Amino acid sequence: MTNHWRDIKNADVILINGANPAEAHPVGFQWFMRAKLDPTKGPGKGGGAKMIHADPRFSRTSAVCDMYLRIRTGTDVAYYGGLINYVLANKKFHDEYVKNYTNASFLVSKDYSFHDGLFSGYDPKKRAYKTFAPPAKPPATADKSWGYQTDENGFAKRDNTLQDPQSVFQLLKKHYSRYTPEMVQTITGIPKEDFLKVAEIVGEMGRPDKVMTIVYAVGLTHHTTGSQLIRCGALLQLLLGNMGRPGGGMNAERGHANIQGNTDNAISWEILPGYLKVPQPGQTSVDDYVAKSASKKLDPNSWNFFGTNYKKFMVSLLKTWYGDNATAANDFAFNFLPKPAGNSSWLSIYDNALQGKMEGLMLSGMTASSIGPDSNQVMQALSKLKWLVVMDPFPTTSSEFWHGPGMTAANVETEVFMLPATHWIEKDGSFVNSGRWMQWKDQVIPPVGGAMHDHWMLAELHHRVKALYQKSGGKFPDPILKLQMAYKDPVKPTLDEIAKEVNGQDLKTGKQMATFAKLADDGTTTSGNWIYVGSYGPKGNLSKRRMGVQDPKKNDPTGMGFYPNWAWSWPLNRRVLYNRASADLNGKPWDPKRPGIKWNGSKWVGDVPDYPPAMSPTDPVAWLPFIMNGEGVGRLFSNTLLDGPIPDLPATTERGRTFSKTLLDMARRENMTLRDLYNITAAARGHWVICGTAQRIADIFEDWFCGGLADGFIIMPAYFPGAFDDFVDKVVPELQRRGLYRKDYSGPTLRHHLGQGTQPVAASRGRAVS
Amino acid sequence: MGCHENAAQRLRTSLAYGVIEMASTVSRQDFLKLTGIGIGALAFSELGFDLAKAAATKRGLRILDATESHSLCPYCAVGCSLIAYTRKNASGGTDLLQIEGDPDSPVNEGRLCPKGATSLQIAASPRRVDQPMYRAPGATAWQKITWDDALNKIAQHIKDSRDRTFVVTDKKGNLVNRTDGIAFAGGATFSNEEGYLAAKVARGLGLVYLEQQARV
Repeated sequence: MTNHWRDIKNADVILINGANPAEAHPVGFQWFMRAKLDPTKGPGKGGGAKMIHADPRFSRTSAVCDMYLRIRTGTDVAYYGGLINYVLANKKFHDEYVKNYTNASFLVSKDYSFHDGLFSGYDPKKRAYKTFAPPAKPPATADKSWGYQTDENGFAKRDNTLQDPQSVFQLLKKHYSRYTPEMVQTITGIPKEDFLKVAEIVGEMGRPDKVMTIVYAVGLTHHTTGSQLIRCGALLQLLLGNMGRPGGGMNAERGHANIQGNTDNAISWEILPGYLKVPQPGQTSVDDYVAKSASKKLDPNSWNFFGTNYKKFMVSLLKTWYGDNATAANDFAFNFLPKPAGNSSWLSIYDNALQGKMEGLMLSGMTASSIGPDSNQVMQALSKLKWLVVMDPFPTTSSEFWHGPGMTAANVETEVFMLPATHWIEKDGSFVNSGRWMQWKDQVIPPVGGAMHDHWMLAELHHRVKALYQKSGGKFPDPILKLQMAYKDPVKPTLDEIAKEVNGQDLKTGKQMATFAKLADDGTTTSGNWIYVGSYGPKGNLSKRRMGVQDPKKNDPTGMGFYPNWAWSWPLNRRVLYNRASADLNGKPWDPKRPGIKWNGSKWVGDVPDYPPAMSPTDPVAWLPFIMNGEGVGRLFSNTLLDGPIPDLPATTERGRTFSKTLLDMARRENMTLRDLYNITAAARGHWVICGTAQRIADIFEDWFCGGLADGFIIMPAYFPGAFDDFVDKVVPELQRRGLYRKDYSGPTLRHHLGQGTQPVAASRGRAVS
Repeated sequence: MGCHENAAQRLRTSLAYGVIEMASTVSRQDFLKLTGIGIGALAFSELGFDLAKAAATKRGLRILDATESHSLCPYCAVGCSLIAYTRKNASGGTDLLQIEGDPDSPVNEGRLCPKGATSLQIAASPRRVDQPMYRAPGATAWQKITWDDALNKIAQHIKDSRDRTFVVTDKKGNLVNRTDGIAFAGGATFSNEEGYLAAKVARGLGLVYLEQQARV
């Protein structure tokens, strides 16, 4: 979340897509309801915030919303696109914000184009855009049409009147002009009249004294178009001037207790802690890595904070991991870091296992076989491993896979270890919630039975592997032998020690670091994760702070719900990200009733500023408001995504290209009308969606089956596993009652039941190969 | 089908467990009275005593002299604060008596959803695995193993797989120093610090297949 749970009460409009907070995050949902019940919030004269829910499924969230829009699955780009078009065409955007706080005025290369669903730079052979490259040093072969027009200093050219046809503003306007209310209706299934009612409410949120929040969950992120769906929302929020403001922002409701923290700490193939990119093959030194990873300053007034300090953060991380073994002489042990061959994400683990390339898998508090599109394939993959380690308090579908459905234990050669882990209440440590609040918990009870902490298992394993390398040598042992495990007891580190390590220290003074602004690139500072610097500074572990609602006057001095002395939030205890954008050019809050930060003449007050605390907004060299990127402003147009600089419908998605090409080819070959194409693809991308009561669903099955149109159905339930139960408990009895479904089985397999008998194994194999 | 029945059976067990838990916080006698409310509500209100007060007193007795600790809900990412009450028992162990919402938290202000409110069930679950288990290649059953043996065996596997699949330079001659044959996946209910250590140790072993719940 750019904002946090309690902040949702500050919103006038809450736009919810692909989420069901009333059921999935019920306690967080109280802040939605408080906004709705607060007469000072809402469009027009108030009367309560308006909640608008777009979802294929009517849920308990829909039930309490002001408007529910039944949207066709996966078409949110068209919905948001329609809203963007409405906002642009009717001049509902926040003019001053768009001009000064976004890249609307930036001029894009004259080679940029968008035609027939494809952006310039498309390589039909590779089915990918050639344009994508790390921003600083694109390879010579890269198409530069997604880049900005630049001046002699390498800065982007701008047209502050927003009239230049190559300005981001004009390109955006043209791009989204296609998303008329009629087109929105055709694609999303939302009636034009309903859409326009929503558009009117959303459009009003471009006023400086109004603010809207967008809330989403995996209903958006899990689509192949996920990145673009979320970018679309962010784009709408930038146009309305709602990023960086209390009551605004883009707010992902995350699923697990510490899913945010573990993303920050990078148990993810493509990043290192603090969202540093994972080094790539061919990057030969820290400097080379930084040049190819860090963003480049694109405006004289852009601070480019992340890009400028990238090296400091990376060197401090290496120094934390490799201690005295990371020196300037050995480039801070940069070569110890593994460089992946390519995409090494979740599915590739099992693909590699199926191909016999993966020997071992360690699962810690996560099961493989209950996650992903094909559990059976994952179980097959697990059976191809040499060894599997499951660290978990409970048996899981992965620890038990070898005697699961379809498995013959005697044939499964995988060695399996089930290591009982302690769970959350048997150890201390922090959880970081959706709103980036790092909150500490106590160890309440001792570990049960023979359970061991996960971090002790990891430390033990490292210790024992290290001993084996010390004894008998092996492939490049240095990264193991020299890894810094300087805990009082190296095999029993405390979480307090680790929390201190994550924060980092100044090696010259031995003191804990207070801010990442002081991290250095010469090896004199450590930090295991730069965004957590300050969480455990010289004043101790701030995530333990407990000054909450027991005294709101004292503990929430701004009255905005920041509660700065309750726990700690990254970065630097900031509660709303990008909050410089909550105030105008002179530092006055856009809405004085809902200030984020404001300039009091000598410093910024309110939330912890996302800006130098004493930088006057009227200083001619004052930084632009979005300090993290090279532009210094919010990106309406972005050249950092694989699938296009402006979100568009699935024709340009990251993974959907094969499917859309197939459809496009088919449409051309068969001379299809738009309606023909829509009939094939609109609902669930070619799959048929049936919603209704058990009886209604049985009616449809009956029609098709008795009409000779189908001799079977493959059921894809809306969610797992409960929807299967609904189907079995409610629809199957109805089908049985109508005599359409068997009540018993005539053999052990489907083949038997269909009268086919047992198939010879050899024949089956032969057919599989052909 | 078998798998499905097992899941359904487990669900039923856990529901039954939930009911037992609920009943144990009231008393059997009160529970019977409460179940009678539907039919005899009028008579009940005429009994002339304040059940709420009685329940509050009883709750007080339940946590009398207990140690109060601060925890967090282990389920979703709202981050509700919990207060947990424990007491040393006669045999030297610690009994977890009660978990409730922390009224001071700006996130939940004392409120909990049904999952959080019943987190005591996961804290003290009969389904916990209480010692390391080993399943040999081709074996049809688990066997017990000591921690020391399990960790030694796994360490040896890590070393062997790493040595077999380690890539120093790729086909283009780039120095890559990676272990291709081992993957690590971490959950999202790790404490933050454990997650950090997992990433550090895994990268130290040269792993590039490093994933977690946030991906899926």
